[in-house]
Amino acid sequence: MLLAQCLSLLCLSLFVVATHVSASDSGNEKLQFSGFATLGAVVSDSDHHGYRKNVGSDGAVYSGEVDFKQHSLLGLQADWSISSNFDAVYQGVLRDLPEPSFDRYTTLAFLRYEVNTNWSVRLGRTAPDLFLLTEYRDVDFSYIWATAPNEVYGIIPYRSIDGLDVTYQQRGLGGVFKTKFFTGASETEISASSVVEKIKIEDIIGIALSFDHFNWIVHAKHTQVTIANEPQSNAFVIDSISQVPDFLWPNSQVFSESLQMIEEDVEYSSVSGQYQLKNWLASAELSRINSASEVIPKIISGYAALSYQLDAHQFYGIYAFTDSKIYVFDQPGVNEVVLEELVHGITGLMNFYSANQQTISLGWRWDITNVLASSLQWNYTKIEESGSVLWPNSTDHNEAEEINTFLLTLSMVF
Amino acid sequence: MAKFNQTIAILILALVSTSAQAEEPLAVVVNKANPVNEISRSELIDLFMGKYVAFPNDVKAIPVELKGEHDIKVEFYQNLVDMPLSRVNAYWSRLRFTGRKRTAVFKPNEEELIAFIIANEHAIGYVPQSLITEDLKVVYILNE
Repeated sequence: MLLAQCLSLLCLSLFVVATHVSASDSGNEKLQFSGFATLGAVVSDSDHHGYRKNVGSDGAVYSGEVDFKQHSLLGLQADWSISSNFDAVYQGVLRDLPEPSFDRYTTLAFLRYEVNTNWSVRLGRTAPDLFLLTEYRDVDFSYIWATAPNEVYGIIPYRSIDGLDVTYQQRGLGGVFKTKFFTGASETEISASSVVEKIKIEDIIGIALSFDHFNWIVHAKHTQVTIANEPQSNAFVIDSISQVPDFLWPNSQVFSESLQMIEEDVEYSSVSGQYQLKNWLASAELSRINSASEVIPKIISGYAALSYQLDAHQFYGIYAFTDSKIYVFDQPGVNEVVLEELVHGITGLMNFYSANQQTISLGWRWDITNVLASSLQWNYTKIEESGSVLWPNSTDHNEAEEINTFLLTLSMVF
Repeated sequence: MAKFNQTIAILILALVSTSAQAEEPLAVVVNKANPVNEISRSELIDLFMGKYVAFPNDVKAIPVELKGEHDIKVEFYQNLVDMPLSRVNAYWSRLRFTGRKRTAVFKPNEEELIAFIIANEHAIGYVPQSLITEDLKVVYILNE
């Protein structure tokens, strides 16, 4: 992590030097600046479940509110072509963050060496390639929808990986095969209703495979990570259990140890495909999060989407779902009457990562110009009982609910 | 009356000329010293859509683009991938802002684009057929 942060600073320093060089030589085209931006408005109709873009956000949008923070952002990027096979990229994305810092705003900062046409290596901070859209979900102009489906992407808070990746690509069967291996570490924040947790992962090892035949493309990705810290909430509950006398909860120690997340592995897997036939575009993704930790349940999620293009307008529909097991406290010999509050806390912790909901979305994207687009999307979400990590609770309301959310985004690249 | 007829004739000529310009084939060109003599449509798509940026002999290519919303650029992508420029830009924003691909070289007009190709053995770009010179080698014709 420290090495990658040093590389981030090194990249930034290189760009400062490059900017100076560029400024002194107006004909220098080796340094290119570009960016992307989104102005997004959200309204939702629930008094209990607050809409948020992902679990990293400490805000939420409740009934009667108009929010501009969840989806609005500004990304700036500098590409420095050092030589024909060596370049550096720096990208910063300004957005609403629970714990803003230069480090969190920096999303890309890497040096790339292209060994030849087939092989390339990147060292530094890169975008996580866990699922299909995790690399570019914040570049709203790049895809049709107003936002990537929350059921799949809302649970992923990571915006970058500090480490190394190696890509091999080769033509074949009329298309292009690509294989990417990546490794590194990452840290981010996950927000619960009343606490912001720092989550660190390390020993990330991932592989991303794709076959691209222009009008159709398939991807398969698998990543394994190790949790590198103990979240405060877990530590607090573990500590509370350790203080319970044996007559109220025999052998509570065994249970409390199962709540530890540190050094537990988590796996992220995804298969996805996309097919374009004239004006129609169909895409689908199925993903799975699996963990050795008792606190993180197995989460299966996915979506299927269809869009139709009519000149500068694209009309689309998405069906998305996420499914995970709900934890019910069932420990033998525990005096649940006396320990009611603690049992409630344990149940909340064990269900924190649970997400059970389905959403049907209908939307309209309008390419206003070649670099500016608007997307209007209606989400009808059916949240099952015990709620969902994707929606913070303003109250202790954990009942099933049907929610309408409207998103309007104006996205651009420059 | 003669003046009216003359005006009509000029208008028709202008229309024919505009139409001819719009339908003029686009030539995909490389440096004369480049050993590649032809390129397939799918290889061209791979190359300009950032999927596999190399010539058929696996030598790395340097695509050269026209800056902004140039008519020729719009026509090129419409013919090549049947996409309006907005969708091409959306597609490229994925590659660019994920840092997956290096960006192309951009030139403000055809003259500078041609000059760059003449000066770089690995460059590849597209120009109207009427602008082809002896220093360029045509490897593909679009909209023929």
